Amino acid sequence: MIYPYRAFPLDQTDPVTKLDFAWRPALKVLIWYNHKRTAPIESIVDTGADHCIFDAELGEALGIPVTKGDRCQLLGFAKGASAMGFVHKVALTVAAHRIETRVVFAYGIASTGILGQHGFFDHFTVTFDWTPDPPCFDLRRIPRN
Amino acid sequence: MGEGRMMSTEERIRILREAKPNSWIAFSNDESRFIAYGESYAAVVKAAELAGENEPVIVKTPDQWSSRVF
Repeated sequence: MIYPYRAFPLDQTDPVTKLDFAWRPALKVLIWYNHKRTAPIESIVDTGADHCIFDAELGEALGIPVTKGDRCQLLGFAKGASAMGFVHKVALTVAAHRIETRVVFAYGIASTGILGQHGFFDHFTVTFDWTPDPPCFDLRRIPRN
Repeated sequence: MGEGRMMSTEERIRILREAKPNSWIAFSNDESRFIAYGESYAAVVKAAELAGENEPVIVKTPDQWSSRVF
């Protein structure tokens, strides 16, 4: 299945692209916990993220005791910038596929959700394509026996 | 494409830009319409339900819109 990138505004014109917005790959994700689930959450597909990370408010809405999860320090590109996350086992519905995995819930992150290596890329083959405008990506479930 | 008829890029950018920082936005499930802003996830989902959209697509706005390394 092919999905278009989503446009996100920028407060200042990007000096590289000369655009006042950025194209980012994103998908709608459902998060399940104990038979409850979220609304579809727009989540960024991020090859550089080790884990799937979601805003802690989503975990709280599902009744997850967020801060009781195993702690997971999250570091970004910039030196010194970090956030504390909390690990919980949930199920994700991504592109009509259900994935049971551990994800990180964190407070104060700059995205609704992030789909990273563990829990997403280990389940899908993803091909990014900047040929069309807007760019798009192809998502295929990795077959498992 | 896999996700149906979406609103224009310009309209989406305007809606995201006009939202308060760290607020929540609900779009219609097919992403063709803006539904509601909210101060919290629970508030925006409730507002969407009241507007007749039971499967809204939810986006949270960051502190600032800047180029990112996620």
